[in-house]
Amino acid sequence: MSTGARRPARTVLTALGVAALLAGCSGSPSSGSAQRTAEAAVQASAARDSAGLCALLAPATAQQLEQQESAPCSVAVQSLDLGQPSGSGAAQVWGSSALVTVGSDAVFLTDVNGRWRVLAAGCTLREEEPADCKLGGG
Amino acid sequence: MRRFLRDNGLTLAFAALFVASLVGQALSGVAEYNSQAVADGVDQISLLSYLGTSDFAVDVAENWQSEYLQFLLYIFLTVWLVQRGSPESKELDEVGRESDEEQRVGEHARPDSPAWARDTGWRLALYSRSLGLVMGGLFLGSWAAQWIAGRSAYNEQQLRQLEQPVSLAGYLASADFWNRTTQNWQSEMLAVASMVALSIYLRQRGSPESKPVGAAHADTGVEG
Repeated sequence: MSTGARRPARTVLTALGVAALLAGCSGSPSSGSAQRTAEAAVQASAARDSAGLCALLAPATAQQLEQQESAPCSVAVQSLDLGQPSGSGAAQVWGSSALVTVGSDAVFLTDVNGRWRVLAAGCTLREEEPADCKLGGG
Repeated sequence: MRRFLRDNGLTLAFAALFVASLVGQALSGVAEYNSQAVADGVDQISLLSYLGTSDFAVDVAENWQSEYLQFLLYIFLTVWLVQRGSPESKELDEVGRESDEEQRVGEHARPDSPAWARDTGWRLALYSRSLGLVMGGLFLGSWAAQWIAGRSAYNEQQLRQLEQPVSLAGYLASADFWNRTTQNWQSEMLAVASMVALSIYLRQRGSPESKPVGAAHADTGVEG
């Protein structure tokens, strides 16, 4: 219809550019810090540093763990084995979520107040279905 | 100033409605985003942060691409296809690109014709297709933005659900991409088909999108 043809193309192009710019300006922390957080969590687990590991968990993950184990986080994580912090891969960051492979397992992270925190860890990735995780993920 | 507002009222009104609608989309979008964030056990975000998310970008782009596709198809198909009785159609015997005289180009250009319409070379060829080319470019650009931003939003959701992210090619083959695409396409095509058909029999007095109220149903290509 003729009304559409009257829309000013320059305004639309500018709006497209602004939208693309905004979409590229994610406020999430960096992929490097995601990798370091994932490594630190696995390191804390391997070193039996319960307080250190609990400090790196996303609130929802810690809460879920405490409910499952009927124990405080620092006690509940003691039985976890999240593998060894060897050879982490580069983080894949998508918006407020990130995925890092540490050793043979995967760690899922989420942005909590500008810092990466562990959503799930000790995960085995699977095709077309959620990962099987030792920590987090219901 | 008043003259400028009167002379450009249609563009300005739609521009204002566009901005108001976009604000409404942003406000409702961030509410929905945060509702899902609570369900997923992750952080909620501010309105300003939401404007920078791929969720907002894909929701905007998927609607833009379908609108530009609608106008692109309308521009091209109305060259070759007609609808008896519709003011949206050309006269039934004008099918095709029409003669230079009818199009007022080259030696048939008038003093007030655009400069490139007086040319006979590549400038005329380009200018004769400029509306379709720009609409086509805007469609492809918006669709590409939907593809890229949609993949980002999809992958964020995948990670929240502890699933693996997909590649650009993988997203192009995903149900999410084609569902977003076709659900917008179908509504645009329905709207155009409705407008073409309903304007044969119905009228809106004073609107150039309608035939004059007293025009016969069989009159084609007549705008009020």
